[in-house]
Amino acid sequence: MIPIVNRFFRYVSIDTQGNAQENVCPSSENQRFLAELLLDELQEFGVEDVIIDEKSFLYARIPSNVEREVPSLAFIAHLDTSPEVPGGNVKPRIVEKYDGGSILLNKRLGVILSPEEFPAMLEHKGEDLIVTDGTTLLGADGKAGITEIMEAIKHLSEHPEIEHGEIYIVFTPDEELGYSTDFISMERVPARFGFTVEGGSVGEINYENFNAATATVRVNGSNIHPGAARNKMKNAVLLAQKFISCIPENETPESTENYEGYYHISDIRGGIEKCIMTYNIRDFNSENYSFRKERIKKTAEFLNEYYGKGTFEVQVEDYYLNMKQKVDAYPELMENAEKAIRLAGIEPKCIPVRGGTDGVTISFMGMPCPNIFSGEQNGQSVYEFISVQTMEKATQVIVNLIRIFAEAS
Amino acid sequence: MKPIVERFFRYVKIDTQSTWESTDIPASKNEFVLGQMLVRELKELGIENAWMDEKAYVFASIPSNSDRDIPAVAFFAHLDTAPDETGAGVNPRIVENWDGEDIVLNQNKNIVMRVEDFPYLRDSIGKDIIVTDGTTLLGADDKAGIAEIMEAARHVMEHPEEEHGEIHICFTPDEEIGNSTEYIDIKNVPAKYGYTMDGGELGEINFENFNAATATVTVHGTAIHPGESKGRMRNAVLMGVEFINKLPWRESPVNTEGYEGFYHVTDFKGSVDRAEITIAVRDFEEVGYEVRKKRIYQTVDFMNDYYGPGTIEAKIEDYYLNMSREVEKHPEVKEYALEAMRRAKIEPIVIPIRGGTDGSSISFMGMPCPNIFMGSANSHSIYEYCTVQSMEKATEVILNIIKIFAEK
Repeated sequence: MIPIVNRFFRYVSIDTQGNAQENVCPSSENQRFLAELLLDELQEFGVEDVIIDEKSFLYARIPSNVEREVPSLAFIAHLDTSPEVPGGNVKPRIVEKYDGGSILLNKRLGVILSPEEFPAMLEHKGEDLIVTDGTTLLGADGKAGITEIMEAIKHLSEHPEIEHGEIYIVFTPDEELGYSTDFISMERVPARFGFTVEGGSVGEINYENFNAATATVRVNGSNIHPGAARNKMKNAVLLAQKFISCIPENETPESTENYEGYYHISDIRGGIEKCIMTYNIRDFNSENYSFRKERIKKTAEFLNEYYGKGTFEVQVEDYYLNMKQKVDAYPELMENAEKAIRLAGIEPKCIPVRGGTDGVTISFMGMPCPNIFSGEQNGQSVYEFISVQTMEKATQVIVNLIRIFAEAS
Repeated sequence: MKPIVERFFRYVKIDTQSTWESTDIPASKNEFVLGQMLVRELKELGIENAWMDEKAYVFASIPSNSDRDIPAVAFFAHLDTAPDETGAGVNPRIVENWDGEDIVLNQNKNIVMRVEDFPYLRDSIGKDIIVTDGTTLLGADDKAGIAEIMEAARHVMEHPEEEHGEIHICFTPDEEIGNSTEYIDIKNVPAKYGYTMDGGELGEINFENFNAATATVTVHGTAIHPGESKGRMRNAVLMGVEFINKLPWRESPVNTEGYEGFYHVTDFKGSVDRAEITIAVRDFEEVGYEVRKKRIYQTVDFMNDYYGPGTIEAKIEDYYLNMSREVEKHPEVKEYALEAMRRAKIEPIVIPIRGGTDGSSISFMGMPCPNIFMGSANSHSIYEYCTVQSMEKATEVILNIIKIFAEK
């Protein structure tokens, strides 16, 4: 087995599934176990400056090997796997030279990975695919990024002639639960630029993401015995429904794509007296984003005009913002990233992230942090798979990035 | 103070508030306390067969004093008060010979019962009104009913010369949280006819109530990361909204009265993958009731036709039924009550109950059981009140019913 596959198999064999029930970080003990394994391996590569903090964040630093000033870079991936799908006892299998057909993952359970359902498979025809046995996730969501970063560091350790600046590595616990950016200590990662290595197909790079707000709409009704309610009852559920009807029905997640924003009602709960709705507001463009937030407030005002002051109350809070504004301040960042991808023989694909990434939060902490592909597909499901060749390409891209930033300066 | 008022004050001072949160039976320990007090008082009246079971149901019976075969009759009232307002520290006060002016319930807190807000108060001008101090409910619902039944029992025991059949008394716990007939052991009330003393103002009497079902509609959506969901996400909340939209909006509680039925969405909760809607279905007419239930299923089918089988599911369960189905089989239970009122010089006000009543479950247990006024208004609130005169009239109606059953 080639070393990168060996490495990947070693990491996915450790069950680091996050546990949403635990309010601690790390939410599962095995994340620390994986971090310790990685610490040992980094030390074997000759990386001396590695620590694991009390929350199981691994921080490593590789000093620059050139005299001149070169921007320092950080590479970030996560240790945990999603709590959504069983994550223990992963049995990865390689399908060599994928022929473009369906792959039977589990005969007994009849689980089939088919290109009809997942057309992205066809981009990997002729490559070697790593798949699951149909009962668990693969864990490539997180561990592919870790594997690629580790292989890149190994490459550097074997090639001291490659010039590079200071390099930081961060492996975070509990990305899936959002703790990764809650508890990261940026003072341990004083890099100029960062890259998360996560998700996406070969060549993908992301430096734009949604502006995201959460609107909480509270509807105040008034209860009265339903048998004596004529002309008196105000049913908060029915009023909530009026509100929902006022939101443009073709601007929802299921009717939008690419750069289109949306309003998404993600939750409702309530009875006659009060009903609370949660709206997720998303847009790439900051003007449209403000408009959408304003529109939710205006809808409440519009309805209050008829149903009475205070019937609808709206609270809108920013959740995360588009990192583009942070990344655009350093044109060289994206130029170098695209160059690194081309140098690996791939055409870069800049794809807007219809969601958030850890890099968004990190960018707003002061370190511009786009995302580069790790190559995993169908994360958070038993259909998760990854191509060995894509992992190799991702490794190359990381090495290229390190070289280009050193060369360009 | 008149004995019935003394009695009433004694009962309302025991806090027997039911709460939805309580998992105990009865919901409030004090229902035992009130129940014990009533058993003791019944025994003091000379009623030997008076006792309370382990769930705080009080049972008592007065044997027939006649050789003739007179049907046994039962009177019911409930021990608890509503969860809506506190029942602790009730401080009742009598406004004697009320002059029709606004009543200041609480000077310090400036709580006033205004005639403008409660115009039906005017019916009580010249009467003695019992009110609260504005910080609690009164508890006349249903301690007025208890006091009236107790006073009637006292009269019966003190007048052995008046002929009567077997009389049963039953005080139930937890009526306000819908549990009073849940645990009743009806064998302990072997009467042919029953009356609950739990109605509203003077003269009110109920022979009908809603047929009531609860429909639980479950919507199954498909959750996908919203950023990647074009053409694939199916949001259960939005499909739930569509379902509610298809119910006739004019047939909701806020648009109906009298004998009109309704669909009432009482609860809606969920997120993208799953949502649940609770709908209360109500109708007096049997046919209308069935049509409404069927309409829910039709709406489900109609939507599934578009969204695919199993997307929406409905489960409908009967909650209670219209007691008129049982009461109409025994017209005498109506006629005697109406006559008892007329003899007490009360004009009967026959009102269909837009809700349930304990008499409904009791009727379906085999004892037709209409509901009679106990003389209070503004139940479940700090503005609850009753008049001494109405309580006396209700006592008279009970005694008249006993008399009429003996006569016929």
